[in-house]
Amino acid sequence: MYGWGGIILKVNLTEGKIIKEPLKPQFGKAFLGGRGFNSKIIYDDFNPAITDPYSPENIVAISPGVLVGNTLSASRICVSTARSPVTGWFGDGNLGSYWGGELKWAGYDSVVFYGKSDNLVYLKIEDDRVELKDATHLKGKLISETDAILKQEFGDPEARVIAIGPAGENRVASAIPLERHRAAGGCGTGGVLGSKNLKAIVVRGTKGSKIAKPTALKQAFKEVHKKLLSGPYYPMFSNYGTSALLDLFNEGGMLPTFNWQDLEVESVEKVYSTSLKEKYSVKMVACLGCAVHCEHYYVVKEGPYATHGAGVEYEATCGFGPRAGGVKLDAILYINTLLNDLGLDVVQTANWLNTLRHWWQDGLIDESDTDGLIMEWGNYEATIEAIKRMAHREGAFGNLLADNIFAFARNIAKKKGIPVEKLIRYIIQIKGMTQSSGDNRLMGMGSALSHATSTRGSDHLRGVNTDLWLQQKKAEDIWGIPREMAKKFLELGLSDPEKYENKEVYVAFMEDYCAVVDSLGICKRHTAWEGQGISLEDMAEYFNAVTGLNYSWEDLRKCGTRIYNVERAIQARYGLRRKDDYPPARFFEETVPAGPRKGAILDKQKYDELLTKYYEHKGWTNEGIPTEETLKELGLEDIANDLKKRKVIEVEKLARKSGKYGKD
Amino acid sequence: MEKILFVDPEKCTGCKVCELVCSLEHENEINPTKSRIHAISWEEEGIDVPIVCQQCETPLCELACPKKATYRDPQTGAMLINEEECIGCRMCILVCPFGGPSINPDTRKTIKCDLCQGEPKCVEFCVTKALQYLPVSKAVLLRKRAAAQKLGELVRTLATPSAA
Repeated sequence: MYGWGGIILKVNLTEGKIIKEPLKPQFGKAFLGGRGFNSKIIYDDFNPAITDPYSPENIVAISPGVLVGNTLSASRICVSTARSPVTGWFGDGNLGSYWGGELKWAGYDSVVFYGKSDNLVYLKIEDDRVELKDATHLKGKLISETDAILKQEFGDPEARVIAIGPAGENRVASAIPLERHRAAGGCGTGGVLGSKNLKAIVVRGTKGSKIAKPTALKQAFKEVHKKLLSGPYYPMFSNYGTSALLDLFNEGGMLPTFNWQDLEVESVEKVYSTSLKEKYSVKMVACLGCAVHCEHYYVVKEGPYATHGAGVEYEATCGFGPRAGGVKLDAILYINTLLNDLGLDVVQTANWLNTLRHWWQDGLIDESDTDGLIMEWGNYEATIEAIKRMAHREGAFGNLLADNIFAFARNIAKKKGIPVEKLIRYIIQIKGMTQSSGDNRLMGMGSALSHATSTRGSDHLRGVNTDLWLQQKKAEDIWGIPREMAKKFLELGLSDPEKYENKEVYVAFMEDYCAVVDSLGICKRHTAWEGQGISLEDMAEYFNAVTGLNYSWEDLRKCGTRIYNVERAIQARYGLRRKDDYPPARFFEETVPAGPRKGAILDKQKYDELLTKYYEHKGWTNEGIPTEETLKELGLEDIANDLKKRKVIEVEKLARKSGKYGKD
Repeated sequence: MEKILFVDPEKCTGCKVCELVCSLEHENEINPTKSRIHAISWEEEGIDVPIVCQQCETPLCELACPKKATYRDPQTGAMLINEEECIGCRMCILVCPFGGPSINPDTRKTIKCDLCQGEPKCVEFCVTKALQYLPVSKAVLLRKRAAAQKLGELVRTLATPSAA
């Protein structure tokens, strides 16, 4: 088998046993790798009646995409869990890495963790040798410390480490695993690993990857490399990283501020990527095999926020900048390094703290609720202190916030006799996951639908990033999408971002597209998702050259459709229904108050119609559940039968019993 | 005019594309262990340094080889290794101060950069120009020009009265 290592590592932490399960070729052909593998494994191996994310029965699956370690532009690993402490549902995160290459070169396609270890352990993988080792000496260590210690113990600086920080060990809901500054963000898989007492995974792989058609791959590299470099946004991302999106959004009147109230922010240029580049960025660094090198290595030389680190994204400069009502760039960099070292997600942490600030603004909470921390807009001291306390569960405030923002809201509601819905309305979230990227009122209606229907909760990475990528006159100028699809989108008038009609066609396509990208392990920033050039045809070329198979872009897309439906079925078993597929209520009820897009708002009726059309287009019921016919067409008879057997409605009652996590 | 492979570590992002394309080119697989070039990184400090055979004028590998298995490519000036003659004694690796030669883990014989017969793949795919393949005269002036630019800025700042 070319392309796949051929082995899925199944680690039973309860018994300390490691099983090397041979990968069935059919599994690889149907689900590709990465996110596709994780989602199907979780569907098959997890009992949805379990509602506690910290139950030993929860599962964490970690898979590099199938092209990682085999091609350029592919470095990404998916980390998935059956129950996320952030949302209470299924969740995953995706990180650009070097670790993924090492795992593939050691001969493995996935590492899946079951059960719970009695003592803190780490997994050591050195080609064929796989063992669990004692990690007591790593307890409480930061990500950077863990990385250094394990590399030294391993005796090879080329070994790669994914670890959780103290936040993960302390089961902070927004805790995540990282390879140094490269983060699997979003769904809080760090706390789940912490609950399993799994501190880190070290891997070194020297076998390399055999290629089925090396000549074809060499040719593909040449063509795709050229395409990538000539993409319209290549100069921006390669020089300024995603922090340039802040500049772009602001210029376009789309910058979210003050916990998504979109009020004006003074001196916002202080957090522009140009300021970052000028003042603190030393050089750009990259993930494995990547010519875009979009990460800043930054140094703040002096002052109270002196720090150094890498991987500062738009989500940090915006989430701890204008969305927090502040513009102190050096403080933001300090916070970014702090979060990466404690092992905390930038987006969730930023949104939670900003929600606190919003409640504070409206007099719903005060110092008595925050252990004395003044959660005012732009108060960086309070932010840093809050983060540290949350990571270590220090004090009543830190401990409560660590459970997640909904737990905090329920506590305040009970304490003060406020209806909990009133507090929750402030949280910009979908299915429990707080929002990333842009405001749903301003990025295009396709993007709004995508965020709302994403199978891990609100997410800009699951489908349409923004409808603005379609704003071209000619199909040839739309990068990264098969020409015939681009033509169709233009004919349907989808380049008007404010239009609702027919957007389901774009969203359905991009959802499949992104599932393919996440399962191949390609970086989305190189693709149509970010208005860049690597297309499904290019990905098929890479895939075929590596594996020796003969997939058309439509074949690849079908894998994406299949993977997306698996995730949708997972959600359906948990009780996900139509009412969970809506953008935040505030975006339907509040207009954008200022700027060039003043007055923008979502239209409930038009969105309802769009959602109905979307379900039809996808082959799902009007409650968003994949039909038996749709599942069978994708070769998912086992899932169709399982949903029938479980009488999915009954599972819904079970799932909603648990009140501890997510928004229920 | 013979060209040289010129390395500028300040521009290296640590992406390892050079290692991937080198191993693909020479071994038809993607395997950094079989690459002739390696980017060595200290991620904590943000330092990345490409290390590759310097194709020395007085090659220590040639002096050390007991089988006289090394020879110069007349077109590119690269030091090559005759695989049949090589006995895998690793003396070349021992004496090279740069870690230029590597060991092929399968054959256990020496492999090293041969400049891809004059079209080095690593250079082709290095987007930041941390690796360049240039005539000697141009390479020499690259560094001098970069340093002169920094000095030039300093001179301008000091000389202009309204500056600061």
